[in-house]
Amino acid sequence: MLRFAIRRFAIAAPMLFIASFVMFMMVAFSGDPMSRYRSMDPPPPPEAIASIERQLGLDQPVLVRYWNWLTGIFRGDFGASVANVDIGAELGARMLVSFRLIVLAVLIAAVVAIVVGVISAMRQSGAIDNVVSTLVFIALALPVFWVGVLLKYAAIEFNEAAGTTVFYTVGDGTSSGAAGLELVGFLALPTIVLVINQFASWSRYVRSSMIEVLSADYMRLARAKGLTKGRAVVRHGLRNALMPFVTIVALDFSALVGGAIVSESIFQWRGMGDLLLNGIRNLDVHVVMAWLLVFATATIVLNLLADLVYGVLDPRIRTA
Amino acid sequence: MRRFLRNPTSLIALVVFVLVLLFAFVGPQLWIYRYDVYTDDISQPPSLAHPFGTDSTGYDTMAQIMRGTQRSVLIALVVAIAATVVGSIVGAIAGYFRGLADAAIMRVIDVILVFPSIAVAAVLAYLSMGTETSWTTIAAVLAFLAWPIVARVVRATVMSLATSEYVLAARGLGVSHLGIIVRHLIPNAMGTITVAVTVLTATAILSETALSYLGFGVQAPDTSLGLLVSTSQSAVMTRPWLFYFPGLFIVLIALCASFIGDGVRHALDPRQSTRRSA
Repeated sequence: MLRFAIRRFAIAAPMLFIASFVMFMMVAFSGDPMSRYRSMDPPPPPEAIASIERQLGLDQPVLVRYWNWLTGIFRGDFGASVANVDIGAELGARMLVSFRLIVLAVLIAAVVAIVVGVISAMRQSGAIDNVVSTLVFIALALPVFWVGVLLKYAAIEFNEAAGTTVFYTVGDGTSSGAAGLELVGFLALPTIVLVINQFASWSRYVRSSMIEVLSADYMRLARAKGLTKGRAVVRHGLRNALMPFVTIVALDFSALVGGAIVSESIFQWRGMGDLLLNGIRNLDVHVVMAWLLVFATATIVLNLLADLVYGVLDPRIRTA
Repeated sequence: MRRFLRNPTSLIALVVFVLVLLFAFVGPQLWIYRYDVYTDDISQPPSLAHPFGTDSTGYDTMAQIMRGTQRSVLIALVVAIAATVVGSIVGAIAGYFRGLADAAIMRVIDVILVFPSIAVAAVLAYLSMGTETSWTTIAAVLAFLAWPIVARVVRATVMSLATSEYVLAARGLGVSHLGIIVRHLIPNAMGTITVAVTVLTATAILSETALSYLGFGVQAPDTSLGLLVSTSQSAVMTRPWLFYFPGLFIVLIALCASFIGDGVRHALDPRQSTRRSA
């Protein structure tokens, strides 16, 4: 197991390095961060532009810039921001807000997907399966932003009917100092939006791998030794059916983050989504790169974890 | 093909999808209002003159939805087809030759998939074009981010086909590598590839509309279904028709694409067709 873990890690670490290089080049070559100053009216003197360029280090060759940026990160310095904020501190605060949402949504979506998928698989082609499958297909086709806005206005009407604010529709609750249970009101709607967006495709995976498992020999053996169908599924089926699911959750992280960006923007959270979108609009290159680096790291770490968990669950993988 | 047509849901989905295409591409020629010309009716609820109502500046919502659907569907189809063609070729090369080419291609794919695609799409679209993003830029960016997914699937299929007897026989007869990929492997992987096109159409329409909703996709005065939802979201309470119709169209298109894909999958893969809905 240790050798397996080391080998996996040896693949993951250079990935991150390569990813950071590709991303830096992509951002460096796709736009001019100074265009905002160049298009000013009246045009600022060329010396002023040159001095800002020097200040941001843009006058140096791109490889030198990459090296400085990379070594800066190891010292905890993400580079200068156009908006004059400390990118590291900003990232920390917003990551807390966004990851709270993402983790909660993943947990709920996974539970819903497993329940829905298993029920669907056990009643394959039955009435329940047909109804559930239709609902899942509709959920797959729903655009996150549309559902989000619909929920937002439904919640506003609900609040008016209830007379108090049950669901908060604006903000993430950090600025009003909400903590503990109070946060639930803020978290509820964006989480529901993300869960609707995600559980559907996961439940399809669970359903098809459960169907495969149900016809396996060891399931027939479990039934033959006298276990009820329910017990056989829980004790023997679930564990085998859910193994591939670990990898899929890690693989879908990118889609989840996409959904989180959109739903944060609907409910006007000051999370990672807002940081990225404003960073792009202001051509704040260092913010955008720091953002992408955070999520690239998260994706790589998640995939590594999924590999390791899979290795623990299924010993055959370790030798493959 | 006959098996596909025997499945009622997929058949209905195909018919509806063709109707949507007609609505989007032929509709604007027949409809009396244009998407970029004001009418005298301001904030009208749906009526016979304006089946989907008008907005607060007097645009006819039906004309706008026709244009928006046209843009969104065009982008989705271009993305799906371009990504599938590139992904299939690259995936087939990786799966057939294995070794160094495969390793290199897979590392490239891994790197692209490491970043959240909607974020990269927004960065690329905005940094390269600013606020003058055209639909071609968006399609190119989304296709660039989507081909690795197809390549992975096709590679897996080709890898299992590459050791089959007819490929070995073809090798034995002296068919070139290119000949084997083009004449034997790609046709036999067509099932996987067709499913990929439909799945990608559904995801592409959702990504494009999400991107336009966030303001990094199709820009005014042109319009897309995502942009229509975005501009009308503050009017949900007062002029709900502006918000509901474009959203329903997105759902309709994505739903059709996934039902068609499901039908193709069932028709091509006999093992999966234990559920006999036809």
